[in-house]
Amino acid sequence: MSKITKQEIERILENPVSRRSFLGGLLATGALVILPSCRLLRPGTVDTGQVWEGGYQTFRNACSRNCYDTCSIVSYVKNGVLKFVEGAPESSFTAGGLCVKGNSYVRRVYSPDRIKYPMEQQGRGTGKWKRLSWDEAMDKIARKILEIKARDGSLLGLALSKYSGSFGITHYGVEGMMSSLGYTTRLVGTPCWPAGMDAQNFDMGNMLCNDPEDLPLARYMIVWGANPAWCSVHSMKFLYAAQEAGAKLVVVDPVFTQTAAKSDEYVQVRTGEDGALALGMCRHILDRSLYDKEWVTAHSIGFDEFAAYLREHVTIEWAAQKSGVPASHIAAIAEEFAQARPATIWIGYGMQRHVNGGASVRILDALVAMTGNIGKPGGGARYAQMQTWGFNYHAKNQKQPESSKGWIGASGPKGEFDFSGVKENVKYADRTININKTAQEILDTKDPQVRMLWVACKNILSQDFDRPKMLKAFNKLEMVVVADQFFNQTVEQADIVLPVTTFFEEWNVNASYWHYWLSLNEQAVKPLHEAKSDIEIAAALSKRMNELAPGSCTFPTTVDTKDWTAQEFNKKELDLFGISSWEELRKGPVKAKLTSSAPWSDGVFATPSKKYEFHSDLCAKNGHDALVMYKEGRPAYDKLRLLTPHSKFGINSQFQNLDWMADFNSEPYVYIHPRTAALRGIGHGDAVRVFNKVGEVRLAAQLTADVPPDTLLMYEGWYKGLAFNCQNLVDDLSSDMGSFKTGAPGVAIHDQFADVVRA
Amino acid sequence: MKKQLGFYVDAKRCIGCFACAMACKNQYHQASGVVWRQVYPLKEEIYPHHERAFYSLSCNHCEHPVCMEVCPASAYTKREQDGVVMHHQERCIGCGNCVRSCPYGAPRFNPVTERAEKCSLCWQRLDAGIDPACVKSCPTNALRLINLATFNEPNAVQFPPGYPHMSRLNPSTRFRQPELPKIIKPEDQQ
Amino acid sequence: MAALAGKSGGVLNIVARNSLDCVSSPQENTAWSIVTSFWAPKKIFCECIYLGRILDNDIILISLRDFFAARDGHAMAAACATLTKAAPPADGHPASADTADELEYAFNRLFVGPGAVPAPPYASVYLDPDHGLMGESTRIAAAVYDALGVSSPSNGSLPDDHLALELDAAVVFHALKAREQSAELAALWDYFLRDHLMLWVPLFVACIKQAPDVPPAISHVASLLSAWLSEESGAKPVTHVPPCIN
Repeated sequence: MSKITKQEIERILENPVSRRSFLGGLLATGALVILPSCRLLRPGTVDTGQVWEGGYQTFRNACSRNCYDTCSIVSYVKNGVLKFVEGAPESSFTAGGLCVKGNSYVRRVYSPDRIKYPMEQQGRGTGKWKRLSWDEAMDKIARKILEIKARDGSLLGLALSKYSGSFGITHYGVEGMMSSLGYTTRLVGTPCWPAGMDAQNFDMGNMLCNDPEDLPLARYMIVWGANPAWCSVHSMKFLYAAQEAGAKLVVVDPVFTQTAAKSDEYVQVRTGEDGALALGMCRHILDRSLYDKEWVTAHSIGFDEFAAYLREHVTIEWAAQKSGVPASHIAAIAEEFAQARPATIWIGYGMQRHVNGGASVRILDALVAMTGNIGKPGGGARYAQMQTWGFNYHAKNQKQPESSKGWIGASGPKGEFDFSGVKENVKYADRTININKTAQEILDTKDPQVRMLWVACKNILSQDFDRPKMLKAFNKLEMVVVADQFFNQTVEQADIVLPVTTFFEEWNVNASYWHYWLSLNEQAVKPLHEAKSDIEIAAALSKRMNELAPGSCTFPTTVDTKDWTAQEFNKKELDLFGISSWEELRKGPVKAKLTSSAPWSDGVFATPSKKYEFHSDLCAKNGHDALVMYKEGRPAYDKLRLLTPHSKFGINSQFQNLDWMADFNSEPYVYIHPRTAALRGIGHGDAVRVFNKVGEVRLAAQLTADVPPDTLLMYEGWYKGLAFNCQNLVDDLSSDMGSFKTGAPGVAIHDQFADVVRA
Repeated sequence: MKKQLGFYVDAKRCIGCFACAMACKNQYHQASGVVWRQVYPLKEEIYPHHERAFYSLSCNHCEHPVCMEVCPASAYTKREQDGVVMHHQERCIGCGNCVRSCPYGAPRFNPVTERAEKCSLCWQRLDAGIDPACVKSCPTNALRLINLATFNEPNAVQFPPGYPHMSRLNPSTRFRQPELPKIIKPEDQQ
Repeated sequence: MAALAGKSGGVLNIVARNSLDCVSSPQENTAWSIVTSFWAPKKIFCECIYLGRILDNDIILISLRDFFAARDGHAMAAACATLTKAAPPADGHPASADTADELEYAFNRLFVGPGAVPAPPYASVYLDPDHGLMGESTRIAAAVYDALGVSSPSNGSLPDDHLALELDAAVVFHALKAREQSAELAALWDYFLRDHLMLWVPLFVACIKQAPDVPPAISHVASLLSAWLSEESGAKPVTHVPPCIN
């Protein structure tokens, strides 16, 4: 008998029919025989389901990251394995392509680095981990929760830190899990956009933005303190379309960003003085009578007061001196802006991460409003919208067990996704503390103190401010539970880690806070290893809680992610998208049916006066100036400014850890102006130490005149295996606004200062 | 002119986002360190800002590919129907001649398989009627698939600054140059 | 030759003429004592010599499988103890000072997580160009199991090319080969051994050997894994250790 070759074997193995019959009669009676010795493999074959010969199974997925673009994804699966992803062609926003991060998803799902099982660290930070079964993990956690309850008489000692790591709507089931246990401590607020959110709410009564797909209608666009070339790549094509139709794109930013390189004009503004620059423009527009008199008369209140303020307190010379932009130029762009029909400002989140961030957004809003650009397709003060997020939040809305005790008194909003409204007349509530001061709050909070912390969709020790303080705060915690996919800097300090699914391994639904598309997220592949979705974890915990103490948790003990996704839809949301059933989303993403691409097109606002409010009593009630006006920035506390914006290679602390990403971006740098570097004897590529009152960071320097001479620039992110963390340099000083809509003020991330020396 | 496929690299629209480079990895799962499409920032002598303009380059599917010339194992062929230069893994002996000879660095040595590999212009996708993965993914339509026989873009150049000028090879990639904005800075930084 | 049925959980599949229903697990007895307790001396003499080699190898094979399938320190320590007894290390005892806990921490640090591990125990990490999970090699392993008429109980969540599963498949192969001579079976085993296991397991072993802080017990397990492969294939043990790719 001739020897069977390797090629023949491989050919036989390729075909399910041929391979199952290959060993023929040998197996006919042999299968049962081998059972005793073979301990893991079972007789019988797997049902591989649909085997696509030469074709892929496709699924609809939705990127669940905190990103303007929230792409609609098509996943290509073969034999139950995700092979590659593409953008959905149906969405005119995603338009068939993902970004560098989206294109790395396959590597993320199948990374050998993924956390596989629940594990327990024997001593925080020791690196000594034992594997737990899910039952064991839930038992340990449940017992701790019950212990806290017995000790304090409430669950206020249990705190939740959660934010935007995964925006699939059923992930609000983590908040739901907390509620289903009792009244707990919640870290509320958001580091992201709260100052501007409040500002837009004071000015207009809601935060709504034009459909970004209407940008081609703009005649003049100012991208102000935003960098869409890095953070909203899919928007760029609309900016380009406007330029090709003759519109002018101006970028205002302290740094010559990638977006600036694509603009017609780049205006370098002094960090934090955006308000002054914009006020200078407003004054000039007022002087030249270039504002829209009709519009402000019909649709606003407080304009006369604003005009008086401008005449008394603002000159373009003052604006030039504050902002660093030459007065002649302030006048020029003011005139261009006011005379373009329509003109628009894209207000960036970076722009409002200052102690005067909210005030600055109010001024930019005012500039758009006084020129009659609110409510115009192609116009608008574009910031964000949450109009498309009208889900049921069924996963989130769980009830506390009957006898639960909690915080006494009313409770404000628990973050911007809490649509439940301010509750009055409640006996008990969750205790809320500021997410932007997590470290300080954990240290200060008492009666009871924060004993146990649950972290989900967040990476505290990579992203939260004042990292040295955070490490101190962790020492106070009795138990830290982290649900995550990778061994990041927070997992390093956890007691118990729970492996979670990627969105390919669960059902979900996503909307965007920028564009107006809705995307279903189908489960494309089985959860890898023992990963569970956040709601499955909640169900497992509830099961154990109720076994130990019946009635101690109201969360259902079994969940199905598809069923829970279906339960998020309501008629209002379906109507907004013009569909009669969520199942229609299986055919592809759908766009909201807007009467106009511009919000406020009917000139009726959601403010108390129903008009645009240059003067807002509500704003004053919240502790700010009623009239839109200039607010001073933060005084310097060190020699140079420090900016820590977002990198194009990651979303906060996600993606940069993947080796595919490291192929294109391998290490962090600090960017220094050549003059500033020369004064310190620092050359291009030198190892340096950046330091301030908070801590220090060691990394290599790159020299470029694209940053101002008084500024150090480094991008936030988490690199696998590197101790690099810019939060060792960022303190937790609050921004002015944010409490009104999100329960806590924002944080002045870009009002930081530091110095640098050669290492 | 015969059909000759190639890439149009519009450095004016290109934002250096690396979606194209990662789309290729997404499609082919190359080993760590083996990159078929790289996005090269232009030196500041060419574009006077630090990493703000880019050429996204893979293989140029040259008219006279040097890789084909120097390969001792006939592991390279050029397709008649569209000029795609194909590398045949099974014939490759890993000698490295092509890796050393290509002035554009298109063939890469894979240390695990110990063979060369390079951009295939996604010919399997082409044959199925769909765009190459990189082209499909570009969010600004800065990377396009073109047919030199019909390509007519007046501003396009074959040898932009920074790109090796190899007329004999006659690479099929075409470029549009990046542009600069007007820059307004404080007076003390003019 | 019929095979013995027996208790589930790591029971050696002994070839015997008679169906006997008590069998002890190989971890508790040496191969020789099992054989001598069941067989009449004269009849089995030749067979024992033949079987002895298989049984010895299978104890090691099964213990290796049990080690890599272990979830906690006690199971790891038990497997190590069996391996040490069956094949003591050349240079004296492996550190019996390793507690089950220490063994577990090291095992998780090397093979499981939650951090990135220096020696992921999956073929695809070493054989497939992207060094990821669920690659082509995973598919091949699953196809081989399919041809054997078995499958992984995890049904898609645990990659099929995990070392414990592949060693379990080797147990299956051994049992089938002991039962019958078949050119197809021999060819399939040859393929699985030479074109799969031998391509990646030495790289995996190299990663263990090159990782920092590897307890001697685990180092010994890795050596036995190498030795078992060499014995199976008839290839000389590798002297040149390739650099770890992770």
